[in-house]
Amino acid sequence: MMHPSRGHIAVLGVAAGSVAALASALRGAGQVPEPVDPLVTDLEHRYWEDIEPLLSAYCFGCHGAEEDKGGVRFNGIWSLEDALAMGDELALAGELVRSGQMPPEGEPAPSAGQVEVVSRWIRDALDYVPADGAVDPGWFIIHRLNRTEHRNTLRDLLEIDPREHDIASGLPQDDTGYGFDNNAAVLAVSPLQIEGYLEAAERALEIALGPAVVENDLATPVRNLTNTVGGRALDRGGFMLHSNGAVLGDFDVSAEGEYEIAVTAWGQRAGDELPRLSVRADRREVWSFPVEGLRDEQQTLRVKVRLRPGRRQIAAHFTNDFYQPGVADRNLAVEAITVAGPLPGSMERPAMHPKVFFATPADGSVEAGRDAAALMLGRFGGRAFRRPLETTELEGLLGLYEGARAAGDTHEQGVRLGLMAVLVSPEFLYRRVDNPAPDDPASVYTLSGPELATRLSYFLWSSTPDDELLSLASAGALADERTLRTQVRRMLADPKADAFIENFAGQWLHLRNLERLTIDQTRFPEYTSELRQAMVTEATLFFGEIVRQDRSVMELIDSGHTYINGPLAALYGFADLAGMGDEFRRVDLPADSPRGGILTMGAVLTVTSNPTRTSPVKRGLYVLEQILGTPPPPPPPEIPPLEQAEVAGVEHASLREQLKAHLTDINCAVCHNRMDPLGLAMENFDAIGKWRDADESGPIDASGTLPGGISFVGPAELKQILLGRDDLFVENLTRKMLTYALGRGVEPFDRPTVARVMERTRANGDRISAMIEGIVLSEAFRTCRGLKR
Amino acid sequence: MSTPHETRVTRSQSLSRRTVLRGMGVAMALPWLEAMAGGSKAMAGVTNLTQAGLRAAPSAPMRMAFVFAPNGVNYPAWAPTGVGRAYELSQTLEPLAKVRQHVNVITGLTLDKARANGDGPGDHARSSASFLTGAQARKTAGNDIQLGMSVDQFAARQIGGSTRLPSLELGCELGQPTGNCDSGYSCAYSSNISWADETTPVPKSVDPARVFERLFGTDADAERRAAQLRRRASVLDFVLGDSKRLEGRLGSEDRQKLDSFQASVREIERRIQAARAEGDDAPTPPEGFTAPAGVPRKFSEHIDLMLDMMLLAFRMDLTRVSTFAMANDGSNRTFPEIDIREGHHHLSHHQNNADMIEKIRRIDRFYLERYAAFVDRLAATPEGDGSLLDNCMVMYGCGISDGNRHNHEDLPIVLAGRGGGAIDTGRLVATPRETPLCNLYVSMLERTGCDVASFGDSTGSLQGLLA
Repeated sequence: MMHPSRGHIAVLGVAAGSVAALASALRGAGQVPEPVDPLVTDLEHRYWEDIEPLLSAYCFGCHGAEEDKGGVRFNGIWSLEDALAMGDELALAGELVRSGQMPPEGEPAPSAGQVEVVSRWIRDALDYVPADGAVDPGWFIIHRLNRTEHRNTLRDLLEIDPREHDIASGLPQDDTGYGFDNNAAVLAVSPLQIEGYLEAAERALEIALGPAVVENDLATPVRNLTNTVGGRALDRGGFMLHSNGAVLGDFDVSAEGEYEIAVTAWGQRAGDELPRLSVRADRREVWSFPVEGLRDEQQTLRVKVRLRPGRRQIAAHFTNDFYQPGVADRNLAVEAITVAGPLPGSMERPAMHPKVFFATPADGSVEAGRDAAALMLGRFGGRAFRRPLETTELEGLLGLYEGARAAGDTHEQGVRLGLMAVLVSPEFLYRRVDNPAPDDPASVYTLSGPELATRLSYFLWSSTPDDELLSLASAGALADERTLRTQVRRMLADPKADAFIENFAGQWLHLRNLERLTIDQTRFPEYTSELRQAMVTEATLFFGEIVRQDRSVMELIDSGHTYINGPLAALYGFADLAGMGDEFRRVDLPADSPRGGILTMGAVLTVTSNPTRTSPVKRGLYVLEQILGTPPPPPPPEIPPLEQAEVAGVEHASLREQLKAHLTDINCAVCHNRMDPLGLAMENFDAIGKWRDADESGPIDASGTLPGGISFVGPAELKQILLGRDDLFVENLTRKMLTYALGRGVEPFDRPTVARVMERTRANGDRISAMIEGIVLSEAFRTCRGLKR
Repeated sequence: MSTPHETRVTRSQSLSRRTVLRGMGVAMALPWLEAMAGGSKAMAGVTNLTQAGLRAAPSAPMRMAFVFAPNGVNYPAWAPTGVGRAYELSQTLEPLAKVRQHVNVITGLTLDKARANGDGPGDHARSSASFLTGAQARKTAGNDIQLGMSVDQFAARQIGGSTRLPSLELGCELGQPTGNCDSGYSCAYSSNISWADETTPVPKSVDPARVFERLFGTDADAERRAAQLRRRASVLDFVLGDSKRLEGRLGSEDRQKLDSFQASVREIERRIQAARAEGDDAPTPPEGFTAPAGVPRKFSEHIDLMLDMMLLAFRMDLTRVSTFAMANDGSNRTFPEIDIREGHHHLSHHQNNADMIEKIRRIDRFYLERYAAFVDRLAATPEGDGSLLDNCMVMYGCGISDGNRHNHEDLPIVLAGRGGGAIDTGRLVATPRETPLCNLYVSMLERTGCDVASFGDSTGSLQGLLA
């Protein structure tokens, strides 16, 4: 069980403490009552519940009414205001307690868990920012493109279809921060990355522009040579096919043209036919040969074929197996498969080539070539750097061109070298802003048009801005709010906004984790990769509809419809739809269906399960963390997760009974009395989200009571409760989306920003466009300040 | 479609290859080791230790490797008994029987920086973070990660310059794609055991085919390869100039990021220069060697194949420093191969359930078997008058001792290899309680000829290790 750390703000189901109310009253009778900030209420409630008793037990002896050792006393804290007034003194106290220097040796000391509680409260209190305070936009640190952004950017710069070409395969996985892989601070660079970028640039240019050298009759072995069932590896290389089957591998075709496939093979003869070898490209037969060669006189069989760009599967099939046990055995051995091409005169330049190579040199001289290169590199570089190139940058690129020509390269090769340099330059790989005072936290910088366009584009498209956005940006038009909003609408309507849907929802809702999660297939045989993919697709389509049709984000909690296909319909028990195949369809849910909203989708129910069974704790935590944004603090040290709590003497204790152990220990109960009931409410869904009325230990009891006495049964009533906490849900979604949009963790100083975005969203019927626009229009998005650690 | 034609070739023209590493791992590993010892052009770029019958010992390079296993162990089943050479292997340590004379089991080592030390929960993230760094991870979900340089990178900086790759970082699991990794720690801490500096994790490769490409390059054609190297060199030269211009406009936080970018570019420049200097002598895989096809489906084969890549890199002297994370700490992987259907992390918190404790023991053994088989392969690889293992130090261990308790003292640690003859193997080395794990690292660094006064939270070198 992983426990989250950020235990901010409100506690589900805990009403404001009466002691806190008393404290407020004590603060000053007769004052005009101010509207109560819920965060203040919560902090004060926590103070009287958790902190004051500890201070009283361990600190007041020396730092209280009786004594003020070192001139410090804590007994004057009646409100958050009082605590904040102590400021640095309180921070120091927190540090001394945390590091074990206080209470001093020999005095009774609080437990590690209690220290954690105190430190956390002090930190949260000192971090307090009123929601209606001044906006601090926060910092912008240089932001490396992550793998997805890098891939999409190359797609848009060079028209490379990522489904055909996995350009980024050499780049290592990006680390994540705050749950997202676009967190600027954790996106580091290692030598492995630089190698990956070099390779990606080379491959991307080759794919987009075709090979620089126009013809190639060098035979290249296919990659990943392997065999299908019915073959075995030969000591001398290649494979022996004992029954009908194939030896196959991959070949990356960079430009359409004619290619020669060569297969080195030999056979073992039997019966009245020679072994037959069928050469296939992407499963289509190119030619079929009889193989005459024997073991020590292999043949190389050659055939020409026209191939389209992309990864092609090249295969040699054995098609006429013949076998009489002990008498006759016809087999085929395939030792090597190579491909050469495009063959001289056959290549067709990809469509991108003339768009990049739009300028033709006046003559064959290096000078004329340089002039043409200046135009082409200037345009490409400007697109890639998302701003016009500076003179020195262009000169550097032209220096590369000249160097290449001096080394004997052609004009085409020289320009390509410049293109490659652009794609490995830090100005391309990092997004940045030109803040003149980057180390001064007090100085606020307004992003330039292109910088804002870039930030917006990577937010909504995970890719580089297009021409329209860039030209508006360089004309200064994005400073106009209405233009900015029009652009947001346009961008959300563009297919490229799928990136926002997949990357934001995929990470916020943990859909991405599903792929790595192991589910025990002996126990859940229906959990196939198709079903898993269908689960992710359902959630993605559902979130996508909210974005595309600009619907209320509250539909994520409950909804009367969803998207399903055949396998999902079978899982959900919609018998009449189970035969509908793999295509997804939007369906209205029956009135009595427990489904509707993301929490009851297969994806979420599965990603919060253990390999062999459900985990009510993980499901409860998911609700608190991903939905309400009120994660419990991590368990105190020394207490192992109680997921597997044993119930003495009970052979088949239900999970509910096992989890009761959480409530017998006050250290566990304080959080698990919130988590466990939420998860147990969904116990009617098994580990892959299928409905069940009973499990091994008997009928499912999906009832629960939250702290504060709210009782409910099952998912439908749970959703009703969650719909009633719409304020929490909208705030949480705002925070998650802001984290994603800014590429940094949301800090306490961001509270006014969050409050304004939330307000705008709520005022617009919780429509998602209002939230997205609110973020884009915020100071945090459009400006930044320096950072000094 | 054009007319096909055919050409007959004789035996001698055809490729005579041994298909060795077709993604098969251990079973296929031995034949090519023998083939390699035979000597061929393939060995040209390599320290010619075995070829001309040179006396090896003085010039044999020293290699160091760190193999990390997740989630601690079932400690009672791990703990060996007895002392010194006469110690008895425990149930979990049984797979070491075959290589017993080559390894030391070390008890009593502690990873203090994996402890909370005031930071609350998060032992799994801290375990992987501090395992090779001996540093306390700053508790953050991302905005300001901070740890320390890991021992492998420390060594790579000093001795990595003479090989194609200063170090090789391997693993089997990518990091978790999203969400919290552990109690408020950024996933960077749980996904990376190698760190170049305080803020820069070094990512690992998990695809053996990619590793193979990195070791030997992809283009067999020398002329094309030379042209590619020339282009890459001039591109990087430009990029470095570009980044220097950029440097002047950035704040201190950004400059730190750009520093690691520049350092990485320089490292690749160095490799390109070295590769260009090699020219035709560039190391190529031993003759008849085919690249792995990708990630094997079976976990054990995946581990073996990654370790084969390490062995190959060591053997051909392409690197002298390597790390391998069998899985990330906190891993909840299942083990269908040994019929364990529950997740590892889930099982590790067994709450004294006998069935779960037993399964943990079997998982511990599963991991240790892979390590023992690797040690065995190193021992079977000749080098000079002895074996490759003689010139290696290959540590195996966890950053957590007992997976249920999350304690970080009495770590399960094994060290294989004689470190060039200095280490007296075949023993149980019992160190006093709370001896920093980093003391072992100091000893290992000393053996590799590194200049090291201290490392991480070390208090000296490890007593009782040397012959």
